[in-house]
Amino acid sequence: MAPHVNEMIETTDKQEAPCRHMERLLQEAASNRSRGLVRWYTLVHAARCGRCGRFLASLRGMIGRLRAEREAESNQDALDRLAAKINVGS
Amino acid sequence: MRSSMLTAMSGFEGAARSELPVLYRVARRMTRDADAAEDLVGQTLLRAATGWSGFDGRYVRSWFIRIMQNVYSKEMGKLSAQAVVVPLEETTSAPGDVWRDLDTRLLSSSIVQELDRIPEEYRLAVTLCDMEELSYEEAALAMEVPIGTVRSRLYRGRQILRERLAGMVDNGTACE
Repeated sequence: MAPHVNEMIETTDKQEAPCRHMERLLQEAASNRSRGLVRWYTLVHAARCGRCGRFLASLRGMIGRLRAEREAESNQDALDRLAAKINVGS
Repeated sequence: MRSSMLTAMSGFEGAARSELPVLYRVARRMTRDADAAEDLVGQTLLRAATGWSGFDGRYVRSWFIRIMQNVYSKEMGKLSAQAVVVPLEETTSAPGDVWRDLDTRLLSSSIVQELDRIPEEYRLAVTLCDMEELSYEEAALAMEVPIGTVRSRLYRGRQILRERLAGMVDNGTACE
């Protein structure tokens, strides 16, 4: 489920940079690409550091909203026309 | 001979059919136009069908997207309108209360609109990695760049998008 818009905007509006050494780790954690000890360290740091916590929440909100928009971008009529072209080619 | 060709083509049809929704969405982000996207996917399928026998079987989605990007840059890129890029200095952070009562649906469509306005290389990285959830390896194959480049474009693309959204709300354009 996509995050509520306020989760994203309350943090997006604060353009405070995260701790310099944390930015890459937060970017990876925001899209669930980090694992294990690295992820644990990142989340613990974000929980204790206001700037990093807000940065992580902001990124997660934005990514969640982008993923939620994915299905709305589909156009069934266009897909049907394109699928018909695949059939013709067989 | 004929039966092996038919088998190969049925493999192509199955792969193309299952990748069609992703290809169309990525084409929408590349072209920023529904008709152009449909045309681009059609040309991509044509090109992919002729090259299917040379496909090595790894990451079919990346393979299709790579073909699509080549078709786009060679045959359609010249016709596409240049993105209207607003320098980052022009975006400013928004005060907290500006955000509070925005309608979720409006802001969602604004995200896609703003994504379409960021430079192409960053837009593609955000589209593939964040919207379509490709792995870095898949995205790197699709974009024909090293994984490190995918990462840096993704981070930069997110930053630009985030700052644009903040600036847009500050200017009140999300409510129009």
